[in-house]
Amino acid sequence: MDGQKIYDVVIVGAGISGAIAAFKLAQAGKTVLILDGGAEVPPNRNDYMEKFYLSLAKTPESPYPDDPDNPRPLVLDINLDNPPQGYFVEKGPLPFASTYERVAGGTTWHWMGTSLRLLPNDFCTQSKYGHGVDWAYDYDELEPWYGRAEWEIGIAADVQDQEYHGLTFTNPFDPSEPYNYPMPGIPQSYLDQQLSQAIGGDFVLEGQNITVTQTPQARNSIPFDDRRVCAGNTNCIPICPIQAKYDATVHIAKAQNLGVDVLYKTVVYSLSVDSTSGLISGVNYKQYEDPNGPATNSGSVSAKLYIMAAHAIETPKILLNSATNELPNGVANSSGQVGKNLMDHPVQLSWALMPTALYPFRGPLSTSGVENLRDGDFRKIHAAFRMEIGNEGWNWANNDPWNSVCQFVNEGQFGTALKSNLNELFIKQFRFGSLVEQMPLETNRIVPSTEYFDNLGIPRPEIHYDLDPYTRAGFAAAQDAAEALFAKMNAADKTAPVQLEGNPTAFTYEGKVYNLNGAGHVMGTYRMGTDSGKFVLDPNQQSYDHSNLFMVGSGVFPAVGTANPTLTIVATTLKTVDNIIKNVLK
Amino acid sequence: MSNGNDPDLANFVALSAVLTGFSLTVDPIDPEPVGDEYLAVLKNPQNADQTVVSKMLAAFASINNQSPPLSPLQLENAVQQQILSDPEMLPIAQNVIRMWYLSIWYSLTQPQPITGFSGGFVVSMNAYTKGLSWEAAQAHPMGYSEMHFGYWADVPQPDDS
Repeated sequence: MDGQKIYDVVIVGAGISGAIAAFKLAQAGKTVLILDGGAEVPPNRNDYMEKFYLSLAKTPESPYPDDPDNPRPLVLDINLDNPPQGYFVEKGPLPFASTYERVAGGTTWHWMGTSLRLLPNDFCTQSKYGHGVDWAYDYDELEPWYGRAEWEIGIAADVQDQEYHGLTFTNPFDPSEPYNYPMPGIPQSYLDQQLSQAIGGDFVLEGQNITVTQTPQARNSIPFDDRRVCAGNTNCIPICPIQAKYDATVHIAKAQNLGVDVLYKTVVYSLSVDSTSGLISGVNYKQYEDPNGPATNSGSVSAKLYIMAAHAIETPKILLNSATNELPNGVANSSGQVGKNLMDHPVQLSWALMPTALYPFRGPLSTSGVENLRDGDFRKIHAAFRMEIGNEGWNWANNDPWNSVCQFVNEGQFGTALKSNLNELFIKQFRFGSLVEQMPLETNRIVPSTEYFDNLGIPRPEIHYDLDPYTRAGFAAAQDAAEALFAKMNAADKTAPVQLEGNPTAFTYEGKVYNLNGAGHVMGTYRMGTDSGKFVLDPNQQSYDHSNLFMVGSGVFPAVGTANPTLTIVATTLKTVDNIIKNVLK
Repeated sequence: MSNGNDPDLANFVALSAVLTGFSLTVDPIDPEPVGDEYLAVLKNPQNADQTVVSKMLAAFASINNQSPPLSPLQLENAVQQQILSDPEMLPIAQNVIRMWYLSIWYSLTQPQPITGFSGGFVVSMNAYTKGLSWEAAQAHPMGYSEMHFGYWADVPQPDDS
């Protein structure tokens, strides 16, 4: 690439933030190159489906290739083993329990599709509740970008269901008109309706009246953007067989149609900085042909402007791996915060049996949630949480149907009794998965490992991770809420007691033992804010240290609320790119 | 198409019907019959001791070929008494049940008990789409739906697949 054309923008990463940024820049007439470590987007998803169908464990990563030259963490490797068996070098005290994908299109291949906005108070938890870190701007400033994000990727929801906790909706295309989502809401499942009836209209927890709310989803309820409507494959994670669920290959294709170039199998490992100007002078990469083989090429590419979009583990890894004598803390890191403040939404899982049939394992994996406890005065005391209602019975909770079938068979059950007993069990299963707001800690961080490297010789991520007391208190409150709801619904709580011994994801709070699950959300590691001493990026997501470097993705979040991050990723990316087009690359 | 060449097929499927509690038949027009695949797995010496497999199939053949034929309940009792009570045949019979329900042949040589986390292999893509556990749940295999938008808002209908 040396000596070839100088692009306006080089983007590292072809996930949702990189692909959408590329598309918007190309729409504005800019020349764009995306570099991605994954292979070219396949012409159809048949190979991924085959791998999925034949996988013994239907994990989020199960459809996708295991490429030593473009490795990623696996759910099956979440532990503190030493030496580590998986991609992450987990130093603890708790393992970081979330993963991501590095195929082109990124983690949106296997996300749930949940597309919630952060709440107004999520932007100011420090000033309002005395905990966490405030965003550099408020909900109202980001709000028009949420609307644009919802239309950009295609969200199915109805505004009248979503106007809680102060959420407002304006029409970004015509502020004089009311706002509508691009598609009508996905119908709530029969299971949702049954739970809602059982909770009733006047059940109060922590001062909030509990309701079951339809979830805004990046899932077609009408044909949209040349994609089909959802057929309820109940497989959003790990893969939608029919692409009724949005994934970022949609925007890779749109970007390419506008002339964006994509270099696949191109793994970026560092950035170079011009010592005179302090500007980024190039992106350095290795390329491979056979994903099990050695690097076949290495090189660098330059541009007028650079956008890091490699998600919240790989982006800081690259920046820190760029350390030189002149920049001993790596690129873009005068704040010292690159790689720090790693946050997930720790998930508290509780599961139960209803006395009456719910018929799970049908429809999208989740169509509703309890949103009431995402905000409230209790946030002065403990973290907020969003209770996701699963439609998949005890699939996540208990690896069903596999575990219960094996258990019943081992007990000697067979024939009509086996079939009948399994039916009785399966049709009444449900679970809550509560996404708890995590606080930033500097000690929660990713650094490039000095001990372990991938097949291309690039450092693997070394992760230090723990849960602060405020988050643990929220986790405990989430379990209490689940138990209270089970009791109200006359459901039998079947949540397995958690053993501390021999369980790397177990942790304690006030004498009780809990089990950490990850939400698949990776956030905070190159956060934006108004103080260059404490934040990596300014509110325009521009590096304080290198004016030709921007970053997008959930790594920019200084605080995470309880909303699944993707919609906020898109909103902040659109806002950032709009500023780049209007004010930086004009 | 069904492999009419294996004389054990009808007997195996009939045994599987009793073991699983489902009405299984050899469908002559099923383009991808899973019974054939499962029988081939069972008859692979790498997967199970063939002496015991033969003994099990023979035992069921004599149960199933009585005159007058046994009722479904009598068939279950006979299978319980003559196959499932035999310590050699029991593990294989139980694995046949798991295979029909979960589309997986779990390894019989690994530490017992077999759980949903045990080692094995998914028999085929076709087998995954025909797993009986999903039917037992009145649902469909996760990742394989022949249903239409919105079906999930209602209870399962009798003709849902």
